[in-house]
Amino acid sequence: MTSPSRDVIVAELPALLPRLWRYGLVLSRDPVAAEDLVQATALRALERSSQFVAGTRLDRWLFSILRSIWFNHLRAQRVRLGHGVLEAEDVLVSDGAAQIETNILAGQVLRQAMALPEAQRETLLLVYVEGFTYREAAHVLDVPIGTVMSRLAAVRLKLGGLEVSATKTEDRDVE
Amino acid sequence: MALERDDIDALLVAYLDGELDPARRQELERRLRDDAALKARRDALAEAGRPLRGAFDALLDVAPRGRLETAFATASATAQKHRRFRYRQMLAALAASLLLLLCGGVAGYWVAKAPGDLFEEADEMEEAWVAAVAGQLSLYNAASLAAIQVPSTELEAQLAKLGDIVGLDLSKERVTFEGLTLKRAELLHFDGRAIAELLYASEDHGPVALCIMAAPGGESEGEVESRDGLNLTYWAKSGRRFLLIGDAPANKIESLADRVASAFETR
Repeated sequence: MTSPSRDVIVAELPALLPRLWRYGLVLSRDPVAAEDLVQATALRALERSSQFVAGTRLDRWLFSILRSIWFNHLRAQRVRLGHGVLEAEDVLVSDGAAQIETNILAGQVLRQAMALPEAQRETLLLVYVEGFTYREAAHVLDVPIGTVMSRLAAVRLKLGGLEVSATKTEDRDVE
Repeated sequence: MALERDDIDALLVAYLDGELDPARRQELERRLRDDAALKARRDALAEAGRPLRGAFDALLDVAPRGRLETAFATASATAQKHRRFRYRQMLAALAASLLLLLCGGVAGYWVAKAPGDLFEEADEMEEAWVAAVAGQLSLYNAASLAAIQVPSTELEAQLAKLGDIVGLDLSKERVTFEGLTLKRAELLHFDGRAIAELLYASEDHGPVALCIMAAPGGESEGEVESRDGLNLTYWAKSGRRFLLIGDAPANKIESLADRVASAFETR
C-alpha cells in the first residue's frame, strides 16, 4: 500500500528535518516542543501522504502541517496546562536543553529576533529565511499581504533600533 | 500622496524585498531620487534586514539531527501501524455502508461492530469510528441527499429519541445551523456504542454529518483533517465524542465545528 506521494515524502522529508525544527523553534521558542512538533508533523504527513500533490513543494506542505499542529493543538495545550507560551527569557532558563539554548541564542540578532512577537517572528522566518514571497506567506499565515508588509517593516524597525510608532506593535494592513 | 510613516516604512521594505509592482516601484524610485531623508530611511531599513538570514541559518547547525531522525523513524513506524489498522477498518465500514444503502437509507439502522481486540489503544478506537463514518459518508452526494425526504414531525421525533440515547438535548433548534438543512437523524452503532448521526445537506457544498457518541474519556480539541476526500474534525467533551465531517472546505468545517461546539457548550 505505498503511493507515489508517500514515497516522495519518505525520501525527502529527512533532509528537511532541521528546517522543520527551526520553524517549530521559532513558533514555540522551546527546543523540546520543536522536536515534538517535527515528530507530529512527520506522522501527519505520512498518514495524509495522499494529499500531497507530487510536483509541488514538499517543504511548503510540511510547513503548513507543522503550523496547523502548533496553532490548533500544541500551543492551545500548553496554554491549557498553564505553561503559557514561553517568553524569550524563559527559553534561556528552561531546563533540558541548556546547551542548545546557549548556542541558539548566542547571536545577538537571533536573540532580538526571537524576542519579537510571535506573528512577526513567524513572518520574518517565512519570508527572509525560508524565501516565501509575500503572497505565499500571506496564504500560509492566512492574512492580507498588507499585514505581511507591515509585520516585516515592524521587524526591520525593531531590529534596526529605528523609530517605532505605537501602531507598530499591532498588525495593520498597508495598501 | 500623503502616506503615514508606517505605510512609508512598509512600502520601503516591500521595495527592498522586491515585492512592489512596477508602477509603485517606479513611483517610489522617483521619490527616492529627490528625497534624501527617504533614501536614508531606506538604507537604514536595508541595513536592519541584512543579518537576519545568517542569524537563522545558525539554528540549522544546532538542530538536534540525531534526535530528529529518531523522531522521524518513530513517526514512520506509527504511521505504518495506523495504516494497516485503517485498511481493515475501511473494509468493514464499506461493507456496512453498502448494506445501509441496500436497506434504504431513511430509517437505516447501521451496525458496524468491529472485533474488540483491535482496539488496543483509545486513539485507535477514535481512528476506527472516524474511519467508519468517513467511509459511510463518502458514498453520499448532493443527489442522494435530495432523495431523502423525512417529514418534519418525524425528524423531531427521531431527534428526541436520539437525544435520550446519547443523553443530550437534541432539539431541532439546537441542531439547526445556518447554511445547512437537516435531512435525517438516525441511530448508528459502533463497537457496541450508540452514535447519533445527523445528516445535513449544505447550501454551498456536499453532504455534512454530525455524529455524537456517548463514550467516557478525556476531553480533547479538534482540528480539521481530510479523509476520503472529506474534511472532518472530532473532539471530546463531557463524556461525548463529536465528529463533524463533510464534503466542504476545511475552513467551513472548522467554523461550523466552532458553532456546533458552542451549541453544545451550555445545557
